[in-house]
Amino acid sequence: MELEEMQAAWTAMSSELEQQKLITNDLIMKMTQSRYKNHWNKIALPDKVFSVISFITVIALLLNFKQLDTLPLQICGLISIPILIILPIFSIKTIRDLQQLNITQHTYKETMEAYAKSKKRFVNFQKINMAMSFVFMIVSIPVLLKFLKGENLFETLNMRFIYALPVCFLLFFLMLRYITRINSSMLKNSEKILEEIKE
Amino acid sequence: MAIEADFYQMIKNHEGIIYKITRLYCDTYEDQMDLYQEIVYQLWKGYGSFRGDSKQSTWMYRVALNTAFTYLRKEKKSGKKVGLEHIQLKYEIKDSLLEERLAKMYTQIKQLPDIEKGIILLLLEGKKYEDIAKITGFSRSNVATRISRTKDKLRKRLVKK
Repeated sequence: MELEEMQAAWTAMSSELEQQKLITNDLIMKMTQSRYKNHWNKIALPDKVFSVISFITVIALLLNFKQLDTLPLQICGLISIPILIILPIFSIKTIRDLQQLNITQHTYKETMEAYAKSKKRFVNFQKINMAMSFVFMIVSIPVLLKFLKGENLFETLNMRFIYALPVCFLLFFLMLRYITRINSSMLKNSEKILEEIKE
Repeated sequence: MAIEADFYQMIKNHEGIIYKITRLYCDTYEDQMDLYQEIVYQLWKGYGSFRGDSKQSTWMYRVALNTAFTYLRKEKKSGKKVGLEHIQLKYEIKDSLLEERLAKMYTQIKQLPDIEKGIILLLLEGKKYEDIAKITGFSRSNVATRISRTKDKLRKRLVKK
């Protein structure tokens, strides 16, 4: 179909639609209210739960820091605290960046650019997130063992830990591969959008 | 209350535009209604800050296209929507021959990249190059180039068939 034919079909459709007045004040109100609730729920839950858990853990860690009575345990505790603070902040910020694209003020081009760029930022964050999570996974084991069982892993290095470590590495590797695969397609899409804009 | 009444009137005046955009960006009726609601919501959210720097219809096209572009990408990933009221609007094209042509036309436009899709929609809406440039943010000459490129693409596809 050539553009001229499309134009004719489009005009005919427009005049048919012009005669169909289906939307009412009541429906518009229902649409805005239902969406408002849905958006609020989406923003509120996952980010907030993650942040609250992280911050509670930081407080618990600080309050019980005295229990970490040897230098290696203290180092593990000190590494865990900033990770638990930085991760949720990063996470909220990157997700908010994506959610808060200014759709109502920007042009189509600006929106596409902002969207593609925030996706790229999100991918970068995912890399940092993965690295930090891995470090956290390692340092949190001795801290948790000390808090929950009073056991100092560095003194009583037992077989359970030796078995658990490769499992942790394997899980981490599988997760890394999965996330990298998702990220690379996300990156490709973002690059494609940016290229389309430049054309 | 006055702002609400103005908003309702604006949506009523342009409900056809929203329908046409949703049909272009969605494959199923369910997705279409979902996007329809999202566009109305985004328009409502931004209506208070719309200062009238541009024409109301220009602003509306802009918000609707931006919403279609971003929302579908996000929603595809987030899966099923919970707690949404399912509103149905059954717009009908009574002329079956026209509907057939429209289906063919939509299929062709849907295959275009997002930028061209938006630009062609505006062109079909009878917008001038200057207006399309204002809505999309591309320069007038860029809009002209893209339109001519799209025309070529459509022609080539026609020849191939």
